[in-house]
Amino acid sequence: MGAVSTFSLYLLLETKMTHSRPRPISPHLQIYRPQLTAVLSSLHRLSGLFLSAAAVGLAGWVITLALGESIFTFAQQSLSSGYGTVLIALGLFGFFYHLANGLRHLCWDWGYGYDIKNVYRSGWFVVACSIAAGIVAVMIAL
Amino acid sequence: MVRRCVLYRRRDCCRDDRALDDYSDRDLVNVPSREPGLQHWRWQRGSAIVLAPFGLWFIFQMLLMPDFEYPTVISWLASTFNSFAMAVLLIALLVHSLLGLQIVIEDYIANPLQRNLIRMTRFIGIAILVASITSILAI
Repeated sequence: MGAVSTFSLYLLLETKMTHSRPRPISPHLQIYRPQLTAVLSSLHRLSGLFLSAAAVGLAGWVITLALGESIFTFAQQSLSSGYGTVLIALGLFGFFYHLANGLRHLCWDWGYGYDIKNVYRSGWFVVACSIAAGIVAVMIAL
Repeated sequence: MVRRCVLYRRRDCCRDDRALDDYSDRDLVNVPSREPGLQHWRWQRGSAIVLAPFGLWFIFQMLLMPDFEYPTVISWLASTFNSFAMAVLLIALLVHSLLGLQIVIEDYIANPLQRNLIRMTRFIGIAILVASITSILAI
């Protein structure tokens, strides 16, 4: 009798826990609702990876300057082709995003803006700033 | 396990050591870390602070460049300030990207390969850095 009542109490508690309010879900990326914070964080990493490749490209561009005119004009031609233009536009957007979000990270490092409200506010601010600056820069560049 | 200990003494970057170094005094840690995490953190922030103004400066210079013919770009890079700023930008950029790539590799790749990849990226990055600084000096 005791065991049965304990078990029914357990069932009752379990149904109460699972159905009365939503339980926290572990962050499996396939089912977890994307949140601004997580999306911006992974975008920071992705743009950082892309900008690392762009840094290698920038160093290569400087090296072609030293190597001579024919190599430099070839580099410029490939940069002004379709793929090059797309890469430069992506790089500009990535640069402005990484810069803005990096400044947000520096603010956090100095201890500012840690509460949830400010994290979301600065996050949307970063999104707006980087998209605006990216659009302006791409329009000037092209 | 033994092999792991040997590797621990020989390798120059490890997340565990970094965590230990961040939270405890160095004397308390048994294995001396060759690269304390605090230094990694400081270099990353320092290079970020250098990169923010210099990166913006470079983007503005590129947007303001009248054309990208060889003589124009060469004369742009030949001026003292521009070549100096370009060198600073490249150094900070490569340092920052190597530190960031190290974090990414440590997060997603398991250890024997992880260590080799970090070494390889450092080697390649420093080679690229040396080559580009040399070509700035040569112009």
